[in-house]
Amino acid sequence: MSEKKIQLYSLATPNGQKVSIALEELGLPYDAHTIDIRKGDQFTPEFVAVNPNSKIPAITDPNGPNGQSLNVFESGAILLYLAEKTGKLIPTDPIKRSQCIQWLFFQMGGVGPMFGQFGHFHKYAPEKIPYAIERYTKEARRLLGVLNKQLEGKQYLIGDEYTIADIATFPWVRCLDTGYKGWEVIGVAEFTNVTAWLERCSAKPASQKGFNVCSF
Amino acid sequence: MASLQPIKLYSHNTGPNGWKVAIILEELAIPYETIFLEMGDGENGVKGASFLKINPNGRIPAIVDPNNNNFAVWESAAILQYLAEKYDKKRELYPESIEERAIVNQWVAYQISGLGPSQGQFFWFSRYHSEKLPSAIERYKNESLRLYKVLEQQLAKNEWIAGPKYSIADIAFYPWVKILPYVGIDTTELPNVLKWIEKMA
Repeated sequence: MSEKKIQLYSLATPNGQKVSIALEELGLPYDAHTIDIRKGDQFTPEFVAVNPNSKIPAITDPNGPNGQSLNVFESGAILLYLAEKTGKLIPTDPIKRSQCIQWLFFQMGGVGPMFGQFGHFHKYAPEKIPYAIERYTKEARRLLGVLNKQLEGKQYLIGDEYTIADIATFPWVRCLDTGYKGWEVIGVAEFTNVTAWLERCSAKPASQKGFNVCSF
Repeated sequence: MASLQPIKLYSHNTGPNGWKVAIILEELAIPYETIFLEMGDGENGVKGASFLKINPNGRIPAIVDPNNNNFAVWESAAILQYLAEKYDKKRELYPESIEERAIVNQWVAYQISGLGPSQGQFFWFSRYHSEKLPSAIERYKNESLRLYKVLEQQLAKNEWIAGPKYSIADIAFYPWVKILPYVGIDTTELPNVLKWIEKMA
């Protein structure tokens, strides 16, 4: 029976957590394989065949077209694929659907890369470069401000409905604390709509489960 | 096609992302007018109050579609999807099936989350920022080159970026990759990328 389960290749980083959380929310059966990027697992020929970019997460869906299996990489593309396939976690109304996709891509092109650069220069870079830390701290704050405004008077990013736009984004906001220890430096607590939304999303059982899939 | 009112495209004189949208509008023969914004928060600025109503993130591109109750779309990839889904009746640029879409979407995502940001930061640190910070420049140059090498592998095996068919993935990459010969990255190991640039022109 396990041949029919989605195979997840991942690690418990924000991008990996997005997909684990979505799989848990959707109740889709899957087998999780930890790809430890600290050990170079992402460069094995087997994994490169699934994702030529050597990044996690990636999935193989054995129930692909014509009974063939399909590899999908890029967390946002995976979220969209799972949502379209199940019809869940994405609005049916075309206007709301487009808005959901806009916020999903905002996470992919903005929040992820820029929070990631903050993490690099604040925590990981061997050389402390004040200008770079400042640049990405400012951009992280700007992005949190945009999220904060959007969440005003709303439960989730596009209103009452919890979608893949939320799932893509909140693990990254959480990572500013748990991963990068940058919560105070960035001043995340000032963005009260964001912190309330983060708590709301994190408290879901699927999120709690998803945070720990393929753990370090 | 019943005559369409021109789509408003908000863009900027510099920066590759606005061109992605211009390309698809031209491909689909949709009338449009371009409004060039300035940097900053002035009246005609990307961070100005009136544009922030269209895109709360204050970045270009964004479109407003008068053929759809002035619906606004921002994030270049979301705009490409929206225009393809709404106006590409032949379904040539963005496939119908969920699985084929997944393949196109993964390469679009790769551009917007990988190549764009890395090359963008590389430009910033190597050309625009006044202070030269070697480790930052190296970081983004190396990651950009790595991403290009992956693209090279993909184009060695495929006619177009997402496979045998031209798609919004090619459109998403083109404005960023077209300038590759001028970027300051070694292109000697990227022959298929260079061939693709010529094919796209």
